[in-house]
Amino acid sequence: MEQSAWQSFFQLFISGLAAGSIYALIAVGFAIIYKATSVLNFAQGDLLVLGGYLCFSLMAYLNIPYIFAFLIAIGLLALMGIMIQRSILNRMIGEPIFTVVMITIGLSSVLQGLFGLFWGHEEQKIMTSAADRIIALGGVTLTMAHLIVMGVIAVLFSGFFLFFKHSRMGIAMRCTALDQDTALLMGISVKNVFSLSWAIACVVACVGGVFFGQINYMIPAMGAVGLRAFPAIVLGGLDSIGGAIIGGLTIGVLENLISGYLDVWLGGAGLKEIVPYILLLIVLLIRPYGLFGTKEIIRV
Amino acid sequence: MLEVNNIEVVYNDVKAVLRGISFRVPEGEMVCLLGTNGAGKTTTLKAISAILKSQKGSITKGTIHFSGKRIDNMFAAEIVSLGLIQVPEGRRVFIDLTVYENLRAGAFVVKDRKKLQANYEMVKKYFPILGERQTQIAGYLSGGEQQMLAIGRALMANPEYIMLDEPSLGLAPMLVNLIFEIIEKINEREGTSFLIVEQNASIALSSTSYGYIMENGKIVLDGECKKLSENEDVREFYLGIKDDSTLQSFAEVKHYKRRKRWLS
Ligand SMILES: Nc1ncnc2c1ncn2[C@@H]1O[C@H](COP(=O)(O)OP(=O)(O)OP(=O)(O)O)[C@@H](O)[C@H]1O
Ligand SMILES: [Mg+2]
Repeated sequence: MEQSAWQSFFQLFISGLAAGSIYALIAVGFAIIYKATSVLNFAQGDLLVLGGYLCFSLMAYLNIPYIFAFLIAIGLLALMGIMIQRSILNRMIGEPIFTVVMITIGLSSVLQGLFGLFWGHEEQKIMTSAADRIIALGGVTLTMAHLIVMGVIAVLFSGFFLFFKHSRMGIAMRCTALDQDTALLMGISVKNVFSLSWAIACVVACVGGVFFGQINYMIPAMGAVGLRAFPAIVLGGLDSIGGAIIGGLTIGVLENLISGYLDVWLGGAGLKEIVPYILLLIVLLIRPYGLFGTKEIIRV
Repeated sequence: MLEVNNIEVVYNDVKAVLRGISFRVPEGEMVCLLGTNGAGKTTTLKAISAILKSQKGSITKGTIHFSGKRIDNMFAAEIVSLGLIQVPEGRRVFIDLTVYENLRAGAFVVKDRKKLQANYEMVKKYFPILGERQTQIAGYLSGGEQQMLAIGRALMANPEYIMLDEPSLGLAPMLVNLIFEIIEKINEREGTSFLIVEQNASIALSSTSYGYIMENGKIVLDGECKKLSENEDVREFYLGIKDDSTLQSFAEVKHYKRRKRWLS
């Protein structure tokens, strides 16, 4: 079936959205941690891969059905987030930001090493019966996994919105991000807020990882998608969750559109890799604090 | 009863800011703590609320008791749960949040929905403006409204005790009077006890019953507010009323004499 110009545009747009959703998930995790604890977590991409691997193993080695494996992986990652905060980062409060950044970079290398040890270096893919089913919608073809990832993200992000706007803990997290001492005076346990931020960021990473493992495949160094999501994070403004979502989706879509239309002319792939950074440069020249970030924020 | 017993506070392990402070706030009472800039009033409140740690401060000596429990080694959150809450200096409302969200934050220790609603109704009774402005962003409120929000926020926890750090700061005299009237009403009707830190001695002495005067990390004078208002030195240095018209400025000698008298 021949696609019309519009159909091929939508094709690129929608698959860009799906890829962007994963960037958005990484960016949101990063923004939540940064906003609440002022820590730049360079291991966010690796936590995503960890989520994917865990789900994969639960399914492949323990024969646990996909949905349950997914939920267990989410639970395990949440615990892991709390542990990282409680055992490592709590001790680092008051240390220079550089030290803490080095720790997250170290965490990233440790995780990548462990991935190689446990899961080897060949490509692993999360296989589900539904994920690869092809769906045709008015000439645009999609896989089920693409549709699911977009649906889940829409639900997840609406959930976030409600949580931060209305729930007791959500409001407490925003207060802590704004003014820690005053949050303490309200009886808010800043330690618990920090742990919760890590737990949420890890859950988000796990969701991203499982979808990534279905749509693409996993190798230990895949955490580098974290770096590809980095422009999305800075684009949205380091501390803005809404900004992270929009930043992630924008980069996913632009990447896909630009490489879809221009790679042919330039004789091969490659443009895709640099599009996010070009976009980032342009935005930062105009708005140094990102599209939605707080103005006074310190850039890295 | 809130009872502070001979506490010493040190910042960065070296700088002794409180050097043996003792005072008490009996249940249902309004007590004020007066003193000039840098006397250590805010540090005293931070020590009670257990938020010195983030500023590298620590209590090196002495004890603090609240309703029979020793609280000087508790976490901030536990102290708020016991019913002792502080309104910080400079109001510190959460500027990006709405008025209602600020009030929700104040009620963090209240988990029961019904109680939350009841406390909100109580706050609106004392500060009707907060109800009218509930969806407004707190950062856009005027200074007076922000002070009301800061007090209302503390009231949302329905505490037994509220500590106020300079509620008059930067407000017009009329507004200061209004806010103190509301505080007195809260004390009278809800039975909430208040510890009020002030630089504005005249308003503090007129609305509280007992006062402590602090200088350089020590309590130098205390007494019934009526008596304090009649004290010659308090009149001269805190209320700006001179009884002795021959004296032109407060000379060093006088300062020395005054200290001696207070310490004796
Ligand atoms: N975090 C800190 N680190 C070091 N020194 C501090 C710190 N906070 C306060 N100080 C010092 O402790 C002393 C008392 O400060 P504090 O804020 O308690 O005074 P205050 O009586 O509240 O004054 P003001 O009326 O101006 O608010 C001051 O000399 C101040 O410089
Ligand atoms: Mg002060």
